[in-house]
Amino acid sequence: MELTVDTMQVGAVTRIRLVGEMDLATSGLVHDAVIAALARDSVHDVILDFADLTFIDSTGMGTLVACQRAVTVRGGTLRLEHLAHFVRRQLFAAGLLGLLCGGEDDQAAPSN
Amino acid sequence: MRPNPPVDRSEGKAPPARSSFADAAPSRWTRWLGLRLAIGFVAVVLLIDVAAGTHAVLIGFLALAPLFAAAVESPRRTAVVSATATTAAVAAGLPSGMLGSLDHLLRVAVVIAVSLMAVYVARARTGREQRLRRMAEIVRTTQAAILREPPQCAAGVELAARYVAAYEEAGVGGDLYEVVADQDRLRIIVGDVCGKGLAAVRLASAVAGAFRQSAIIRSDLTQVARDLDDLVAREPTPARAATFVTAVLVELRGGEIGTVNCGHPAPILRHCSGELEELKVSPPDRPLGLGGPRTPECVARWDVGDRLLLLTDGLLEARDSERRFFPTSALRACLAEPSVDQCLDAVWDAVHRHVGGEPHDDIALLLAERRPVVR
Repeated sequence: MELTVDTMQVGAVTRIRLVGEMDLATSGLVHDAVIAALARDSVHDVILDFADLTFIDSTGMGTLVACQRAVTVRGGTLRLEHLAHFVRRQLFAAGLLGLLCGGEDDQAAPSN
Repeated sequence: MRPNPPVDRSEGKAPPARSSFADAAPSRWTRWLGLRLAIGFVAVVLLIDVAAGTHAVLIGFLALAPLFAAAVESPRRTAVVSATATTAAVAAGLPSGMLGSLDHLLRVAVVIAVSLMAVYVARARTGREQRLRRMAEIVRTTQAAILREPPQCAAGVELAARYVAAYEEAGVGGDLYEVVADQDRLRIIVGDVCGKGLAAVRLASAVAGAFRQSAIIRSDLTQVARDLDDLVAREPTPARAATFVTAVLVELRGGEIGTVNCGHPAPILRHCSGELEELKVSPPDRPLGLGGPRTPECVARWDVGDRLLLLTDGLLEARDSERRFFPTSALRACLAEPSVDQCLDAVWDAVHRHVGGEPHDDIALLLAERRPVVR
Protein backbone atom coordinates (compact mmCIF):
# COMPACT_ATOMS: atom_id res chain seq x y z
CA MET A 1 0.00 0.00 0.00
CA GLU A 2 1.25 3.43 -0.89
CA LEU A 3 0.92 6.81 0.72
CA THR A 4 0.38 10.00 -1.26
CA VAL A 5 1.35 13.23 0.44
CA ASP A 6 -0.23 16.38 -0.94
CA THR A 7 0.95 19.71 0.50
CA MET A 8 -1.08 22.89 0.11
CA GLN A 9 -0.25 26.23 1.67
CA VAL A 10 -2.90 28.75 2.71
CA GLY A 11 -1.37 31.82 4.35
CA ALA A 12 0.60 30.78 7.41
CA VAL A 13 -1.04 27.37 7.51
CA THR A 14 0.16 24.31 5.64
CA ARG A 15 -2.38 21.63 4.96
CA ILE A 16 -0.97 18.20 4.20
CA ARG A 17 -3.39 15.67 2.82
CA LEU A 18 -2.52 12.02 3.29
CA VAL A 19 -4.00 9.32 1.10
CA GLY A 20 -3.22 5.70 1.90
CA GLU A 21 -1.53 4.07 4.88
CA MET A 22 1.09 5.39 7.25
CA ASP A 23 3.54 2.65 8.21
CA LEU A 24 7.22 1.80 8.45
CA ALA A 25 7.69 2.30 4.73
CA THR A 26 5.77 5.54 4.28
CA SER A 27 6.04 7.51 7.55
CA GLY A 28 9.26 9.19 6.46
CA LEU A 29 7.33 10.97 3.68
CA VAL A 30 5.04 12.61 6.22
CA HIS A 31 7.94 13.71 8.39
CA ASP A 32 9.74 15.14 5.36
CA ALA A 33 6.62 17.03 4.29
CA VAL A 34 6.16 18.56 7.75
CA ILE A 35 9.83 19.56 8.00
CA ALA A 36 9.68 21.04 4.49
CA ALA A 37 6.63 23.07 5.52
CA LEU A 38 8.42 24.36 8.60
CA ALA A 39 11.39 25.39 6.49
CA ARG A 40 9.21 28.10 4.90
CA ASP A 41 9.50 31.26 6.95
CA SER A 42 5.84 32.10 7.13
CA VAL A 43 4.55 28.73 8.27
CA HIS A 44 3.62 28.11 11.87
CA ASP A 45 0.66 25.80 11.85
CA VAL A 46 0.45 22.46 10.13
CA ILE A 47 -2.76 20.56 9.51
CA LEU A 48 -2.63 16.89 8.62
CA ASP A 49 -5.77 15.95 6.74
CA PHE A 50 -6.50 12.34 7.63
CA ALA A 51 -9.74 12.00 5.65
CA ASP A 52 -8.22 9.42 3.32
CA LEU A 53 -5.78 7.80 5.72
CA THR A 54 -6.95 4.25 6.24
CA PHE A 55 -4.35 2.77 8.60
CA ILE A 56 -1.50 3.82 10.83
CA ASP A 57 1.00 1.52 12.55
CA SER A 58 3.21 2.15 15.58
CA THR A 59 6.02 3.63 13.48
CA GLY A 60 3.49 6.04 12.00
CA MET A 61 2.36 7.06 15.46
CA GLY A 62 5.97 7.65 16.50
CA THR A 63 6.37 9.87 13.45
CA LEU A 64 3.27 11.87 14.39
CA VAL A 65 4.63 12.52 17.88
CA ALA A 66 7.97 13.56 16.36
CA CYS A 67 6.20 15.88 13.89
CA GLN A 68 4.20 17.44 16.69
CA ARG A 69 7.39 18.15 18.62
CA ALA A 70 9.06 19.69 15.57
CA VAL A 71 6.08 22.00 14.98
CA THR A 72 5.72 22.94 18.66
CA VAL A 73 9.39 23.83 18.94
CA ARG A 74 8.79 26.35 16.13
CA GLY A 75 5.95 27.88 18.11
CA GLY A 76 3.24 26.41 15.90
CA THR A 77 0.59 23.76 16.36
CA LEU A 78 0.00 20.46 14.61
CA ARG A 79 -3.65 19.56 14.07
CA LEU A 80 -5.10 16.32 12.80
CA GLU A 81 -8.34 16.72 10.88
CA HIS A 82 -11.04 14.40 9.58
CA LEU A 83 -9.80 11.30 11.33
CA ALA A 84 -11.44 8.20 9.94
CA HIS A 85 -13.11 6.06 12.57
CA PHE A 86 -10.56 3.25 12.36
CA VAL A 87 -7.54 5.53 12.66
CA ARG A 88 -9.19 7.39 15.55
CA ARG A 89 -9.67 4.08 17.34
CA GLN A 90 -6.04 3.14 16.69
CA LEU A 91 -4.76 6.42 18.14
CA PHE A 92 -7.13 6.09 21.09
CA ALA A 93 -5.97 2.54 21.82
CA ALA A 94 -2.36 3.71 21.79
CA GLY A 95 -3.21 6.42 24.34
CA LEU A 96 -2.16 9.10 21.86
CA LEU A 97 -5.49 10.64 20.86
CA GLY A 98 -5.38 13.20 23.66
CA LEU A 99 -1.77 14.11 23.00
CA LEU A 100 -2.24 14.53 19.25
CA CYS A 101 -5.75 15.97 19.15
CA GLY A 102 -5.39 18.65 21.78
CA GLY A 103 -6.75 16.76 24.76
CA GLU A 104 -10.44 17.41 24.06
CA ASP A 105 -11.19 13.70 23.93
CA ASP A 106 -8.46 12.35 26.12
CA GLN A 107 -10.68 9.99 28.02
CA ALA A 108 -13.58 9.60 25.64
CA ALA A 109 -13.59 6.27 23.86
CA PRO A 110 -14.78 6.54 20.26
CA SER A 111 -18.13 4.82 19.89
CA ASN A 112 -18.26 1.62 17.94
CA MET B 1 15.84 -22.27 26.28
CA ARG B 2 13.37 -22.64 23.49
CA PRO B 3 14.37 -20.02 20.98
CA ASN B 4 11.52 -19.36 18.60
CA PRO B 5 10.13 -22.87 18.83
CA PRO B 6 7.17 -22.29 16.52
CA VAL B 7 9.57 -21.53 13.73
CA ASP B 8 11.37 -24.84 14.10
CA ARG B 9 8.08 -26.61 13.82
CA SER B 10 7.17 -24.87 10.60
CA GLU B 11 10.20 -26.38 8.89
CA GLY B 12 8.94 -29.94 9.15
CA LYS B 13 11.90 -31.84 10.57
CA ALA B 14 13.95 -30.20 13.30
CA PRO B 15 16.75 -28.11 11.81
CA PRO B 16 19.22 -26.13 13.98
CA ALA B 17 17.30 -23.42 15.74
CA ARG B 18 17.73 -19.90 14.40
CA SER B 19 19.64 -20.05 11.17
CA SER B 20 16.84 -22.01 9.56
CA PHE B 21 14.61 -19.02 10.16
CA ALA B 22 16.94 -16.60 8.40
CA ASP B 23 17.28 -18.47 5.17
CA ALA B 24 14.51 -20.94 4.64
CA ALA B 25 16.04 -23.95 2.88
CA PRO B 26 15.19 -23.85 -0.83
CA SER B 27 13.33 -26.87 -2.09
CA ARG B 28 14.88 -29.32 -4.55
CA TRP B 29 13.04 -27.63 -7.40
CA THR B 30 14.28 -24.12 -6.85
CA ARG B 31 17.83 -24.90 -5.77
CA TRP B 32 19.52 -24.95 -9.18
CA LEU B 33 16.74 -23.19 -11.00
CA GLY B 34 18.73 -20.08 -12.01
CA LEU B 35 21.60 -22.15 -13.39
CA ARG B 36 19.28 -24.51 -15.25
CA LEU B 37 17.26 -21.70 -16.79
CA ALA B 38 20.40 -19.83 -17.89
CA ILE B 39 21.95 -22.87 -19.53
CA GLY B 40 18.61 -23.80 -21.06
CA PHE B 41 18.47 -20.32 -22.56
CA VAL B 42 21.96 -20.76 -24.06
CA ALA B 43 20.85 -24.03 -25.64
CA VAL B 44 17.71 -22.45 -27.10
CA VAL B 45 19.64 -19.53 -28.63
CA LEU B 46 22.15 -21.94 -30.11
CA LEU B 47 19.43 -24.18 -31.56
CA ILE B 48 17.57 -21.30 -33.14
CA ASP B 49 20.80 -19.95 -34.59
CA VAL B 50 21.67 -23.28 -36.19
CA ALA B 51 18.13 -24.16 -37.26
CA ALA B 52 17.40 -20.77 -38.80
CA GLY B 53 20.84 -20.57 -40.35
CA THR B 54 21.33 -17.00 -39.16
CA HIS B 55 25.12 -17.32 -39.37
CA ALA B 56 25.89 -16.60 -35.73
CA VAL B 57 24.01 -13.29 -35.79
CA LEU B 58 22.07 -14.33 -32.70
CA ILE B 59 25.05 -15.06 -30.46
CA GLY B 60 24.90 -11.59 -28.92
CA PHE B 61 21.81 -12.83 -27.09
CA LEU B 62 23.96 -15.44 -25.32
CA ALA B 63 25.25 -12.65 -23.07
CA LEU B 64 21.81 -12.49 -21.46
CA ALA B 65 22.34 -15.87 -19.78
CA PRO B 66 25.26 -14.81 -17.52
CA LEU B 67 23.44 -11.56 -16.73
CA PHE B 68 20.39 -13.48 -15.61
CA ALA B 69 22.55 -15.84 -13.54
CA ALA B 70 24.24 -12.85 -11.88
CA ALA B 71 20.87 -11.65 -10.65
CA VAL B 72 19.83 -14.88 -8.97
CA GLU B 73 22.82 -17.24 -8.58
CA SER B 74 26.13 -17.43 -6.69
CA PRO B 75 29.34 -16.12 -8.32
CA ARG B 76 30.58 -19.66 -8.93
CA ARG B 77 27.44 -20.76 -10.75
CA THR B 78 27.42 -17.50 -12.67
CA ALA B 79 30.96 -18.36 -13.81
CA VAL B 80 29.72 -21.74 -15.00
CA VAL B 81 26.99 -20.04 -17.04
CA SER B 82 29.51 -17.52 -18.35
CA ALA B 83 31.85 -20.32 -19.52
CA THR B 84 28.93 -22.12 -21.13
CA ALA B 85 27.80 -18.99 -22.95
CA THR B 86 31.33 -18.27 -24.18
CA THR B 87 31.83 -21.84 -25.40
CA ALA B 88 28.48 -21.70 -27.15
CA ALA B 89 29.41 -18.40 -28.76
CA VAL B 90 32.61 -19.89 -30.17
CA ALA B 91 30.85 -23.09 -31.24
CA ALA B 92 28.13 -21.12 -33.00
CA GLY B 93 30.71 -20.13 -35.58
CA LEU B 94 31.29 -23.75 -36.63
CA PRO B 95 28.20 -24.77 -38.63
CA SER B 96 28.10 -21.57 -40.67
CA GLY B 97 31.84 -21.52 -41.23
CA MET B 98 32.09 -18.08 -39.68
CA LEU B 99 34.57 -19.26 -37.05
CA GLY B 100 37.51 -16.90 -36.80
CA SER B 101 36.05 -14.17 -38.98
CA LEU B 102 36.27 -10.63 -37.59
CA ASP B 103 32.51 -10.49 -37.32
CA HIS B 104 32.44 -13.67 -35.23
CA LEU B 105 35.39 -12.68 -33.05
CA LEU B 106 33.79 -9.33 -32.18
CA ARG B 107 30.57 -11.00 -31.15
CA VAL B 108 32.42 -13.54 -29.04
CA ALA B 109 34.33 -10.67 -27.42
CA VAL B 110 31.04 -9.03 -26.41
CA VAL B 111 29.82 -12.27 -24.84
CA ILE B 112 33.12 -12.67 -22.93
CA ALA B 113 33.08 -9.08 -21.67
CA VAL B 114 29.49 -9.31 -20.44
CA SER B 115 30.27 -12.71 -18.89
CA LEU B 116 33.16 -11.31 -16.87
CA MET B 117 31.04 -8.39 -15.75
CA ALA B 118 28.26 -10.79 -14.72
CA VAL B 119 30.60 -12.70 -12.41
CA TYR B 120 31.65 -9.45 -10.78
CA VAL B 121 28.02 -8.37 -10.33
CA ALA B 122 27.14 -11.73 -8.77
CA ARG B 123 30.01 -11.35 -6.29
CA ALA B 124 28.98 -7.83 -5.31
CA ARG B 125 25.36 -8.87 -4.98
CA THR B 126 25.94 -11.90 -2.78
CA GLY B 127 28.36 -9.95 -0.59
CA ARG B 128 25.75 -7.31 0.09
CA GLU B 129 23.05 -9.89 0.74
CA GLN B 130 25.30 -11.64 3.24
CA ARG B 131 25.97 -8.43 5.15
CA LEU B 132 22.23 -7.72 5.34
CA ARG B 133 21.47 -11.22 6.54
CA ARG B 134 24.19 -11.03 9.17
CA MET B 135 22.78 -7.73 10.44
CA ALA B 136 19.26 -9.13 10.69
CA GLU B 137 20.70 -12.17 12.44
CA ILE B 138 22.55 -10.02 15.00
CA VAL B 139 19.40 -8.09 15.82
CA ARG B 140 17.42 -11.31 16.12
CA THR B 141 19.97 -13.03 18.34
CA THR B 142 20.25 -9.99 20.60
CA GLN B 143 16.49 -9.89 20.86
CA ALA B 144 16.33 -13.56 21.80
CA ALA B 145 19.08 -13.08 24.39
CA ILE B 146 17.35 -10.28 26.28
CA LEU B 147 13.98 -11.98 26.60
CA ARG B 148 14.13 -14.55 29.34
CA GLU B 149 11.90 -17.58 29.28
CA PRO B 150 9.18 -17.08 31.87
CA PRO B 151 8.91 -19.70 34.63
CA GLN B 152 6.64 -22.56 33.49
CA CYS B 153 4.58 -22.32 36.61
CA ALA B 154 4.53 -19.65 39.32
CA ALA B 155 2.04 -18.36 41.89
CA GLY B 156 -0.57 -20.88 40.75
CA VAL B 157 -0.32 -19.80 37.13
CA GLU B 158 1.02 -21.77 34.19
CA LEU B 159 2.94 -19.70 31.66
CA ALA B 160 4.28 -19.90 28.13
CA ALA B 161 5.75 -17.22 25.88
CA ARG B 162 6.75 -16.89 22.25
CA TYR B 163 8.70 -14.32 20.41
CA VAL B 164 8.59 -14.32 16.65
CA ALA B 165 11.01 -11.90 15.04
CA ALA B 166 10.03 -10.25 11.78
CA TYR B 167 11.47 -11.97 8.74
CA GLU B 168 12.75 -8.82 7.11
CA GLU B 169 15.55 -6.91 8.77
CA ALA B 170 13.59 -3.66 8.61
CA GLY B 171 10.83 -5.17 10.71
CA VAL B 172 12.87 -6.44 13.64
CA GLY B 173 11.98 -4.29 16.58
CA GLY B 174 11.61 -4.16 20.28
CA ASP B 175 8.72 -6.25 21.46
CA LEU B 176 9.27 -7.36 25.02
CA TYR B 177 7.83 -9.40 27.84
CA GLU B 178 8.95 -10.04 31.36
CA VAL B 179 7.51 -11.97 34.28
CA VAL B 180 8.30 -11.33 37.93
CA ALA B 181 6.99 -13.87 40.45
CA ASP B 182 6.69 -12.95 44.10
CA GLN B 183 5.12 -15.64 46.35
CA ASP B 184 1.39 -15.52 45.55
CA ARG B 185 1.62 -12.64 43.12
CA LEU B 186 2.74 -12.54 39.53
CA ARG B 187 3.57 -9.38 37.65
CA ILE B 188 3.85 -9.33 33.87
CA ILE B 189 4.68 -6.70 31.30
CA VAL B 190 4.15 -7.05 27.56
CA GLY B 191 5.24 -4.08 25.51
CA ASP B 192 6.30 -2.77 22.14
CA VAL B 193 9.02 -0.18 21.59
CA CYS B 194 8.08 2.30 18.88
CA GLY B 195 10.80 2.00 16.28
CA LYS B 196 12.91 -0.75 14.73
CA GLY B 197 16.42 -2.13 14.72
CA LEU B 198 19.11 -2.40 17.37
CA ALA B 199 18.14 0.84 19.13
CA ALA B 200 14.66 -0.55 19.73
CA VAL B 201 16.08 -3.86 20.97
CA ARG B 202 18.35 -2.00 23.37
CA LEU B 203 15.46 -0.02 24.81
CA ALA B 204 13.35 -3.16 25.10
CA SER B 205 16.15 -4.71 27.14
CA ALA B 206 16.37 -1.64 29.40
CA VAL B 207 12.59 -1.64 29.98
CA ALA B 208 12.54 -5.36 30.80
CA GLY B 209 15.41 -4.88 33.26
CA ALA B 210 13.81 -1.88 34.93
CA PHE B 211 10.54 -3.79 35.23
CA ARG B 212 12.27 -6.69 37.02
CA GLN B 213 13.64 -4.24 39.56
CA SER B 214 10.60 -2.03 39.97
CA ALA B 215 8.05 -4.85 40.07
CA ILE B 216 9.73 -6.27 43.16
CA ILE B 217 10.12 -3.01 45.07
CA ARG B 218 6.89 -1.17 44.31
CA SER B 219 3.65 -2.25 45.91
CA ASP B 220 1.51 -0.26 43.47
CA LEU B 221 1.45 -1.31 39.81
CA THR B 222 0.83 2.29 38.70
CA GLN B 223 4.06 3.27 40.41
CA VAL B 224 5.89 0.62 38.38
CA ALA B 225 4.52 2.27 35.23
CA ARG B 226 5.77 5.67 36.43
CA ASP B 227 9.25 4.24 37.04
CA LEU B 228 9.30 2.92 33.47
CA ASP B 229 7.97 6.29 32.27
CA ASP B 230 11.00 7.99 33.78
CA LEU B 231 13.37 5.47 32.27
CA VAL B 232 12.00 5.77 28.73
CA ALA B 233 11.71 9.57 28.92
CA ARG B 234 15.45 9.80 29.58
CA GLU B 235 16.23 7.96 26.34
CA PRO B 236 17.66 10.10 23.54
CA THR B 237 15.18 10.85 20.76
CA PRO B 238 16.10 9.70 17.25
CA ALA B 239 15.95 12.29 14.47
CA ARG B 240 12.74 11.34 12.67
CA ALA B 241 10.81 9.54 15.36
CA ALA B 242 9.79 9.67 18.98
CA THR B 243 10.81 7.25 21.70
CA PHE B 244 7.97 5.57 23.54
CA VAL B 245 6.86 2.14 24.56
CA THR B 246 3.29 0.91 24.53
CA ALA B 247 2.77 -1.64 27.27
CA VAL B 248 0.26 -3.35 29.45
CA LEU B 249 1.24 -4.17 33.03
CA VAL B 250 -0.61 -7.06 34.62
CA GLU B 251 -0.72 -8.31 38.18
CA LEU B 252 -2.19 -11.77 38.81
CA ARG B 253 -3.15 -12.53 42.40
CA GLY B 254 -5.47 -15.48 42.84
CA GLY B 255 -8.71 -14.71 41.04
CA GLU B 256 -7.89 -11.08 40.39
CA ILE B 257 -6.28 -9.55 37.31
CA GLY B 258 -5.05 -6.00 37.86
CA THR B 259 -4.00 -4.06 34.76
CA VAL B 260 -2.40 -0.73 33.97
CA ASN B 261 -2.87 0.19 30.32
CA CYS B 262 -0.17 2.30 28.70
CA GLY B 263 -1.58 2.46 25.18
CA HIS B 264 -1.25 -1.23 24.39
CA PRO B 265 -3.72 -3.73 22.88
CA ALA B 266 -5.86 -5.23 25.64
CA PRO B 267 -5.14 -8.84 26.65
CA ILE B 268 -7.65 -11.48 25.57
CA LEU B 269 -9.36 -13.59 28.21
CA ARG B 270 -10.52 -17.08 27.31
CA HIS B 271 -13.01 -18.54 29.75
CA CYS B 272 -12.88 -22.27 30.27
CA SER B 273 -16.32 -22.37 28.62
CA GLY B 274 -14.49 -21.49 25.39
CA GLU B 275 -15.82 -17.94 25.24
CA LEU B 276 -13.36 -15.18 24.27
CA GLU B 277 -13.48 -11.63 25.51
CA GLU B 278 -11.22 -8.65 25.48
CA LEU B 279 -10.08 -8.13 29.06
CA LYS B 280 -11.70 -5.09 30.63
CA VAL B 281 -8.95 -2.51 31.00
CA SER B 282 -9.05 1.18 31.82
CA PRO B 283 -9.09 3.72 28.95
CA PRO B 284 -5.53 3.79 27.62
CA ASP B 285 -3.09 6.28 29.12
CA ARG B 286 -0.20 7.54 27.05
CA PRO B 287 2.58 5.09 26.20
CA LEU B 288 5.55 4.88 28.56
CA GLY B 289 7.95 7.75 28.06
CA LEU B 290 5.43 10.43 27.06
CA GLY B 291 4.43 11.44 30.59
CA GLY B 292 0.82 12.27 31.37
CA PRO B 293 -1.39 10.94 34.15
CA ARG B 294 -1.57 7.26 35.02
CA THR B 295 -4.98 5.79 35.71
CA PRO B 296 -5.10 3.55 38.80
CA GLU B 297 -5.07 -0.17 38.23
CA CYS B 298 -8.24 -1.71 36.78
CA VAL B 299 -9.31 -5.03 38.29
CA ALA B 300 -11.02 -7.92 36.51
CA ARG B 301 -11.59 -11.51 37.59
CA TRP B 302 -10.75 -14.92 36.19
CA ASP B 303 -11.57 -18.44 37.23
CA VAL B 304 -9.54 -21.60 37.50
CA GLY B 305 -8.90 -22.90 33.97
CA ASP B 306 -9.30 -19.49 32.33
CA ARG B 307 -6.51 -18.35 30.04
CA LEU B 308 -5.15 -14.87 29.51
CA LEU B 309 -3.35 -14.02 26.26
CA LEU B 310 -1.08 -10.99 26.27
CA LEU B 311 -0.02 -9.89 22.80
CA THR B 312 1.54 -7.14 20.71
CA ASP B 313 0.10 -5.35 17.69
CA GLY B 314 2.18 -7.54 15.37
CA LEU B 315 -0.48 -10.22 15.87
CA LEU B 316 -3.52 -8.00 15.33
CA GLU B 317 -1.92 -6.25 12.36
CA ALA B 318 -0.66 -9.37 10.59
CA ARG B 319 -2.19 -9.17 7.11
CA ASP B 320 -2.92 -11.62 4.36
CA SER B 321 -2.30 -11.04 0.65
CA GLU B 322 -5.50 -9.01 0.41
CA ARG B 323 -4.32 -6.85 3.34
CA ARG B 324 -6.97 -8.14 5.72
CA PHE B 325 -6.02 -8.22 9.39
CA PHE B 326 -5.68 -11.38 11.43
CA PRO B 327 -9.14 -12.08 12.82
CA THR B 328 -9.22 -12.47 16.61
CA SER B 329 -12.02 -14.99 16.19
CA ALA B 330 -9.36 -17.35 14.83
CA LEU B 331 -7.90 -17.44 18.34
CA ARG B 332 -10.93 -19.31 19.66
CA ALA B 333 -9.75 -22.66 18.34
CA CYS B 334 -6.08 -21.95 19.08
CA LEU B 335 -6.66 -21.24 22.75
CA ALA B 336 -8.66 -24.44 23.22
CA GLU B 337 -5.58 -26.67 22.90
CA PRO B 338 -4.75 -28.83 25.95
CA SER B 339 -1.62 -26.99 27.15
CA VAL B 340 -0.50 -23.37 27.11
CA ASP B 341 2.49 -24.32 24.96
CA GLN B 342 0.32 -26.03 22.37
CA CYS B 343 -2.01 -23.02 22.35
CA LEU B 344 0.81 -20.69 21.39
CA ASP B 345 2.02 -23.08 18.71
CA ALA B 346 -1.50 -23.10 17.32
CA VAL B 347 -1.63 -19.30 17.36
CA TRP B 348 1.66 -19.19 15.48
CA ASP B 349 0.40 -21.67 12.90
CA ALA B 350 -2.78 -19.64 12.44
CA VAL B 351 -0.83 -16.41 11.90
CA HIS B 352 1.50 -18.18 9.49
CA ARG B 353 -1.44 -19.50 7.51
CA HIS B 354 -3.14 -16.11 7.49
CA VAL B 355 -0.08 -14.19 6.31
CA GLY B 356 0.90 -16.97 3.90
CA GLY B 357 4.55 -16.80 5.00
CA GLU B 358 6.61 -14.95 7.55
CA PRO B 359 5.07 -11.98 9.38
CA HIS B 360 6.42 -8.50 8.59
CA ASP B 361 6.41 -7.28 12.17
CA ASP B 362 7.56 -8.80 15.45
CA ILE B 363 5.01 -10.69 17.49
CA ALA B 364 5.35 -11.30 21.22
CA LEU B 365 2.84 -13.59 22.92
CA LEU B 366 2.49 -14.61 26.53
CA LEU B 367 -0.19 -16.98 27.72
CA ALA B 368 -1.16 -17.52 31.37
CA GLU B 369 -3.56 -20.14 32.73
CA ARG B 370 -4.94 -20.12 36.25
CA ARG B 371 -4.34 -23.51 37.88
CA PRO B 372 -6.34 -25.02 40.71
CA VAL B 373 -4.77 -24.45 44.13
CA VAL B 374 -3.02 -27.58 45.43
CA ARG B 375 -3.18 -27.93 49.19
